[in-house]
Amino acid sequence: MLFVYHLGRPKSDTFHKLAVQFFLDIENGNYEGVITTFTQTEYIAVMKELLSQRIGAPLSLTQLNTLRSEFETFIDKEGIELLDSDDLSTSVGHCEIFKWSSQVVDACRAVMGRHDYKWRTIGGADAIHAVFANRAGSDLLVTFDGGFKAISSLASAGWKLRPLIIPDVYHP
Amino acid sequence: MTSMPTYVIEDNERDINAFDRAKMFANTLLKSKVASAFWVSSPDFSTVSTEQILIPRAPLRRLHLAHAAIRGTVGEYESKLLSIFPELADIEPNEIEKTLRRMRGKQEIEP
Repeated sequence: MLFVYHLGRPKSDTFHKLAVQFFLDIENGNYEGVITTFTQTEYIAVMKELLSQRIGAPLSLTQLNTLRSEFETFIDKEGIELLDSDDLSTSVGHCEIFKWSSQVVDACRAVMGRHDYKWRTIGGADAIHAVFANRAGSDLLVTFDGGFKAISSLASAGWKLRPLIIPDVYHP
Repeated sequence: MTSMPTYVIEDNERDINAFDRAKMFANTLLKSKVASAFWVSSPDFSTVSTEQILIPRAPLRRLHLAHAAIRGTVGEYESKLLSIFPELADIEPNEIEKTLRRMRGKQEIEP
């Protein structure tokens, strides 16, 4: 989402402004960025659907390649590390990502939203991102999604990974 | 990433303050026939959460290596796709949120 808001939203957009602040922090060396190929896949999927909806047609291969190359050159110039999700999904020759994700879902406690008082926790795909971040040795999982506050519970499971919820830290 | 956030990470128990909690009760629970304990009990997950989740480190292929950012990259790529795909300018912010949430299975498909 950070990439969608940064690359694909106008400068007047509030979420765009927040994303810019975070990426400037990376540019200034305050954070080291790490993403996975799964993040890239989600970015492409969201952009593909949004654009197809607006254009009223499926994207051409050229348009898809443009989306992908702009993303890749941005993360390359920004110094963001890209890790292979397949590596992060396997252990000693066999895949265990779903077992680990299940453990993460079990360990995460639901959190209540400050504004709408709705209880939220992380879903299956979110848990996969959390496992990847843990295996990559990350300290923070950066997102707009307040539901990821639930991964704070993982401290008691021995994890150092913490959520960084963009609207809680940055302000337009 | 090596840096820590500049704000205090709150755990679940402290996520809402007393005022918010009271407001929540006033808004939803006092009008409910459901026992409040049913809704707001803070279930003890200690048996779950204290269990260690140990995931072995993986040999990682770095498809792009981390390095210091090239100065000006954020400005160069700010809203860059709008010049390539001007149709993006018409997209509402909540449309992006909805799209991702639907793709992650967090939102029902609207009728």
